[in-house]
Amino acid sequence: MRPLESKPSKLWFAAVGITSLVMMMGFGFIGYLFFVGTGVWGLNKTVGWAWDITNFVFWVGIGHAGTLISAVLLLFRQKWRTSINRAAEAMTIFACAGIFPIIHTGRPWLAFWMLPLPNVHGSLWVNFNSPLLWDVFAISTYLTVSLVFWYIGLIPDIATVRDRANGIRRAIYGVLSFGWNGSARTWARYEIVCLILAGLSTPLVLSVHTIVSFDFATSVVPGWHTTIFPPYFVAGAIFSGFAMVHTLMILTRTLFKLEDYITIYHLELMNIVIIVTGSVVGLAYGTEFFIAWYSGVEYEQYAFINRATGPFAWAYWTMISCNVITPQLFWFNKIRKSVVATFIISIFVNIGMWFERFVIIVTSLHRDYLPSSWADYSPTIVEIGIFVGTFGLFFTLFLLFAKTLPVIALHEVKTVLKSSSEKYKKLAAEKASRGIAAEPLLTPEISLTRKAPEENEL
Amino acid sequence: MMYSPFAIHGMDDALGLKRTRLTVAAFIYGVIGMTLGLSMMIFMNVIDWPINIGGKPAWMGPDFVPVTFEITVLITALGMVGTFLYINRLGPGVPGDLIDPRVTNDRFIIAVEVKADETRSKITEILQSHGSLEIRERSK
Repeated sequence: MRPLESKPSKLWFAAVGITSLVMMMGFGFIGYLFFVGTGVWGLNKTVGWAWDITNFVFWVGIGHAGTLISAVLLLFRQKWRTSINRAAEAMTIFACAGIFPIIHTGRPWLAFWMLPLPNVHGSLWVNFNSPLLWDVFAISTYLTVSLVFWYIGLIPDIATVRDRANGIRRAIYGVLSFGWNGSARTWARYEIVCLILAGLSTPLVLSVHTIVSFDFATSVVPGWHTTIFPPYFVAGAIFSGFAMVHTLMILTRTLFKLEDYITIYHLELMNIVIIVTGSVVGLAYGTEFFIAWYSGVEYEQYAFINRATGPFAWAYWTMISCNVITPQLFWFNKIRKSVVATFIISIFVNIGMWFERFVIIVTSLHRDYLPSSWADYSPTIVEIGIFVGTFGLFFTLFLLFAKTLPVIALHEVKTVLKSSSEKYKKLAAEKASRGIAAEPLLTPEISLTRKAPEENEL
Repeated sequence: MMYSPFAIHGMDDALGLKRTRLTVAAFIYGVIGMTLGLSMMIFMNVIDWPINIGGKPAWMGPDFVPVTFEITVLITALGMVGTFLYINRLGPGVPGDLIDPRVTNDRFIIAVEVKADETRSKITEILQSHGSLEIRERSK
């Protein structure tokens, strides 16, 4: 509650100032792109997909951890999720991967062509055999369901804020709280709704990145044409998502002094998830190489040797060192429990996972079947600007959220407070040593404010 | 009725509330979503305007799986949440019947509807003997 009810600190203003400046710069570049068209990018005939799709897949991946933490961990009844799930869900929504394909068309006013609407020249419909169209449905469903799930989780907490506030704040939170009153019947239904939404979101999370990977896996380009892509992309998405959760949570707990709620224990558990998914990703890199050799397809073999030794080898080895080698440091107890080390490694993983997508996309495309059409790729300032701008947008939205809505799921933390909080444990221990029952006996202070009998007609 | 700042497992049984039928609603929404999604695609790509792509058949079952799944999930999630808000009379700007502002923070409240005057004193006695912090009365 503290971050919400106090005046924003100077540090917060400084942070929002910087991020919104970066965001404005991004908007500037996006405006330029819309005005001129996608020709302002460094793409060419051979490398027709590069920086843009890399960003899209990168942000979708980041958007994965939120729903994964809240849905999958809810189903597995992992209590530790309670202090991080709210922020992680917000991260999912603010990763705003949904707007990328629209920006990337360069002509956003024609984006409705992606919808199943009848065509003006007769009823020629969209093609449901295309993975790109599946993506449209997957991403928009994911965004909608995540948003609904996040808001349903927020309602009881907004009600808490409402009842502690007064004046205009009370009015605003009152509208947002949907008239929540905390009755047992509502709570019983609420639990069921959350459980069903979690049950729906779990396969949804897995399906979204699977469908994103189909964009590549269903083509015939060497380096893309592999059945390993769906699990490999999902593991990568969870990996990068958890890394981004780390980056954000460590910033949040420092900025808003939430060290008592987001503890080293939480960071350590997330680090374990990072080791597991990081190793899965490492295994996938190895498997790709093995299959390229084992299949005996020379184009496939060339694509992979070119990845590791060709003109983009620097990107490949950045990816390997950031994604496979760095997270292995978490095997050491000290590093796993260190906030600073976790923060640094999480940044490395973020960088590595961006490069993973870049490597898959650009190195596979730039060496075609025909050597005469081989080309190189380098980004222009517009592509870089838009990408940096999206970070500005993401962090601005997150900082605004953290200041206006409860960043920790209050009602969920309350259920585990007595059993897990350090303060309560200490209190109980003190009382036990003094021979007093752990639960204090409450002395009833009854204020029988009886109203006049005629008002009491029920 | 019982009011609390967080969900308490088993409270619905203790109060003798009927099991919610929201799960049945979820299944119905799922079936509706699946039917809608699948029939939309079949109409567009098979019946109304089949596209010839390399001579492949217009009806390609596996290709319709991802979108069918997404629409099923979408309709179920939205339908569930809509139903939940409707049956609990929740919505943006709804005033809500809040029994005490402290209930959303850290208080637990048992509300008892009293029909006759003699039961009132009995209920007060029961509540007192179980250590309630505060007893109040109000007319509806």
